[in-house]
Amino acid sequence: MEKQATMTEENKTQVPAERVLTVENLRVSFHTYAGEVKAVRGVDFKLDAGETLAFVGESGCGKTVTAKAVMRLLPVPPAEILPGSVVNYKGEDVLSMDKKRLRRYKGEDIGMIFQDAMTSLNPTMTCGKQIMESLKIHTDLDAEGRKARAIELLDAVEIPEPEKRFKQYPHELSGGMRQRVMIAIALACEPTIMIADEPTTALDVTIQAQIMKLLKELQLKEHTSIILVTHDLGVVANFADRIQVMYAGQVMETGSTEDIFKNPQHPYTWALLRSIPRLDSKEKEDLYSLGGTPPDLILPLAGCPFTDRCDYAMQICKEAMPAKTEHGDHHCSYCWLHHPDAPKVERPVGD
Amino acid sequence: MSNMQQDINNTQVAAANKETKVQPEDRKVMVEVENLSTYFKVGRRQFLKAVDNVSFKIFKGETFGLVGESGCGKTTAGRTILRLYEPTGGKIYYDGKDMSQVSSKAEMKAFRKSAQMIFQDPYASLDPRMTVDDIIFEGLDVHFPHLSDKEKHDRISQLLMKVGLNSEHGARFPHELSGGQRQRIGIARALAVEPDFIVCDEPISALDVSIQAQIVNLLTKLQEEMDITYLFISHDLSMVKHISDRIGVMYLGSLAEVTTNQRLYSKPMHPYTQALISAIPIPDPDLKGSLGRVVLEGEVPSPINTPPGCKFAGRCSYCFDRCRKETPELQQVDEDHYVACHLYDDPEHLPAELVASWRE
Amino acid sequence: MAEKVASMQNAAPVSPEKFARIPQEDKSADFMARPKITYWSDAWRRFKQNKLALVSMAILLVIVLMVIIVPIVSPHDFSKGNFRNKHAAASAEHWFGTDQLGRDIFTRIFVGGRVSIAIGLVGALISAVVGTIYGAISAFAGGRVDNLMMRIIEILGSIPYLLLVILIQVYFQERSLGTMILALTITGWLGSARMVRGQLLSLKNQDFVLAARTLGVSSWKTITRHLIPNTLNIIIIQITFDIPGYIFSEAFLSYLGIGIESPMTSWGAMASAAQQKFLFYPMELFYPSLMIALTMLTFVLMGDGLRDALDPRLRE
Repeated sequence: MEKQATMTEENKTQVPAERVLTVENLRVSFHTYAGEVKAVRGVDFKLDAGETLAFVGESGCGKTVTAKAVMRLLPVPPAEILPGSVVNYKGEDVLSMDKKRLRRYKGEDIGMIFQDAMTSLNPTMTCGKQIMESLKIHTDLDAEGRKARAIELLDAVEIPEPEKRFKQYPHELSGGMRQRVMIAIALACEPTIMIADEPTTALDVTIQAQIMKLLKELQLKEHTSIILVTHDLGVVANFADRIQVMYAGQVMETGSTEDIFKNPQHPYTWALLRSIPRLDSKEKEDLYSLGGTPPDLILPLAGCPFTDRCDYAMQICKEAMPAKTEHGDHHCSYCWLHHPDAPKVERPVGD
Repeated sequence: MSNMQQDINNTQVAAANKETKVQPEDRKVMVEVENLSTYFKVGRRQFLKAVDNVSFKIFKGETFGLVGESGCGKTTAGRTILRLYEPTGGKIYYDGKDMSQVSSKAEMKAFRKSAQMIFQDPYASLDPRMTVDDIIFEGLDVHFPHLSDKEKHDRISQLLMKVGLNSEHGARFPHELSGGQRQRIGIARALAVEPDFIVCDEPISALDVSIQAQIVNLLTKLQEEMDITYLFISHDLSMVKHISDRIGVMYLGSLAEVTTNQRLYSKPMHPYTQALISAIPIPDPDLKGSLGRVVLEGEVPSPINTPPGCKFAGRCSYCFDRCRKETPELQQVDEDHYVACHLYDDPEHLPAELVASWRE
Repeated sequence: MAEKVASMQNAAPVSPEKFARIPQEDKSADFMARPKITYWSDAWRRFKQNKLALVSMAILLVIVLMVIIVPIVSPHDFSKGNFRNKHAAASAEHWFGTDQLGRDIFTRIFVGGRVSIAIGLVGALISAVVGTIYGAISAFAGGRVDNLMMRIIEILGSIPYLLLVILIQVYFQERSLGTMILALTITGWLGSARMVRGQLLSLKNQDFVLAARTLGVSSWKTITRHLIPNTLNIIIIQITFDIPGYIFSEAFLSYLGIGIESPMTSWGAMASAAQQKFLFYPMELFYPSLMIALTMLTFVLMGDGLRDALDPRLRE
């Protein structure tokens, strides 16, 4: 009931850009030997054209599963997108797309960049062939046209000597170059949305900076929307427009990048912000460390999933999931600390 | 300069002033590497110079950080020091003894007990068919054969507690644990033999940022408790700076710069060190424009048949003629500060831009 | 904290004691939620899901039991016939009828099965053991030794095995179970050796093997504790695929007449005898052929199930 209230309220206010993706109450489960693993437990988000949204959270928080569910990439079974979930692409229901539509949807509407370029590229095919493959499915260019376009794409992702690289196999390229080829493949059909799943985690810092810069430039040029999935808040600060902090398959806090960094409201966001290592730190003081491990999603989890690791955990956190609290335009969090009767705490980070 | 940067500078200066001045000569050397080279044969008369003429010292009780991009030879250097790879040339002194020549079984066994390693990939470094107990038991079995089974199992429980796990985890298999938990098992395995020196080979780079801090804090705590010396290998300069006392920056098999952690940040002298520092993303949304801050273009060239001269010359923005002809030697430029760069031989060449970026 | 706009403010009041802090010690974030599961129990769980493999295993068990029991309890002697009752059709006394010498085919099928299955099992086991040891030495020694050992395998593999079989029979002057197994295994282990070597070579560079070296664990213990247990799944799969191979080789040789010697028999030998009068008495050929096909098929299907269950690459 409260979700509807906020929905209508939002509709009344402004719609700045075209809305390309709406996800509501997305729930995904995996059926395993030990029982049902509820990997995503009711996630909502919206994405506008040209916008960058970052999913941030530790491994196993459901960020990748959410992204893959949106792209319909999850193997069914063992995965199951539970009834009641809504994934809407420009007014079209993604979850009920037929095979033919889905084929076009993956590639022309949404492209994906994976973390590990080595295993996501086909080792027996040249880089050029792999780009042409995608062009063959999604465009009606002839062989000559496809080749020209592939070389153009390699050039667009700033690969030196694109004609030479066109004929090379993935193993002949460095990690950074492979990641660029992946981006070229994802770009091949000029998708509306690009999902980048930890695109730089496996790369060195210097290459990481190059790739992030490239992605940003391409986004500005093509007006693509990007969903960036990462565990490192440090990477997204000067890249994302909005950030969605996830934990145990649930959204903990959503807001603009400024909101999350300067006015974070959820203890989990605080913890993530505090664990970013800083070069300007003083002598060997203890780094802030978030103890423990995220909960196994096979558990029922009655209350807030973060309770076990939260520095501010209260009795009620164990018993019930807190309702949404809005802190301003598009900035909201889920935490019992915001209940009017809750004790006031001092925020350890932010302005 | 922004306000924030100013703040940083102030704290830096304060910290630098407080730094206790221990003369390098007073400290006991744990590991000394002298002109160490490790080459791999990759073809006819072709060698991959993974480690090429590297010298440095690690003092007892300190953490020496080794940073560089992938393929710079830092892992090979660590493994050669542990004699997991045979050195092609040079000497490795461990606790004063030349380990590069040792081949007697007893001496090697003592070395294996004293020097340990923590691996990068917590998935590949634990035998998938063994329980956690068995994994930790292995070292005890080799080096403490006189202990009874019960004593060994008590030790395993203690070790698990020490790394923040409990004996319930002992009966589990690695695939049942999370990345952070597995890495703690890897640490417990190394600790089992009560080592004096541990090579930490990228122990945190496969982990989430939030878990990285757990592991780094654990390593620091263990160092204080057990007086262990670390060689901490990583590509993440911010973590290395945090945990290390002194840091060596490696590029393509050679050391570019060696200095204390504070100096490396406040006065990075080698252009490569500067580039590495500037590539670290600053977690501040106000600096949105800084995405264009990439100083370093291109990628690390192949370490096979490197051309003469400075290895960084091809990517260095301050490169001049001499850099392409002559290989720079690592030389002392300041107290506890060594650099291998021609820019410092002749003050004329020293670019103002570089000097301006120092935070000293 | 910043002004709150919505929802939580309208929430139902909560009693104050609910807002009591939970003490830090009560947190159990390293709690293990899933039941403990070993590699083998997990593999068995996966194997059970494959119904075809499970049925195959059941059929195989029945065949093996029959092969053991039938010759003991049968009222007929497999080697003694009744000339007045040649080529009899199936009846209450002779369930599968009799052969050209009037011997009970039902009994002979399971006596022959003993030979066929024994050759399959023993042959596969010998090649697994020899292959594992050879492959392990080759992989672990590396360098020149490895090179030499691999060349030996290539040379052995280039000898036609029919020639070997005949040579061995000529040398030992007999055609018994022993010479058959010897003839078949003399080159049969090559595949296992190659596979074990390949697996060990990739394992050898794994970090956990390096960790064992760093701990000073001896080579022998590294092989027995780390390398072999991690290769066991592949060896088991190889054995289940080797068994039908040996059974078929034996049948093939017996069918050609250079297999097992009378009065002992095997499925191949029975088929060989029956094919001469195949047009008149097709059932005599049918029974041994059915047994060969059934045994081989069930072994292959079970091997498939085992591979899916044991191969770690398919594990999440």
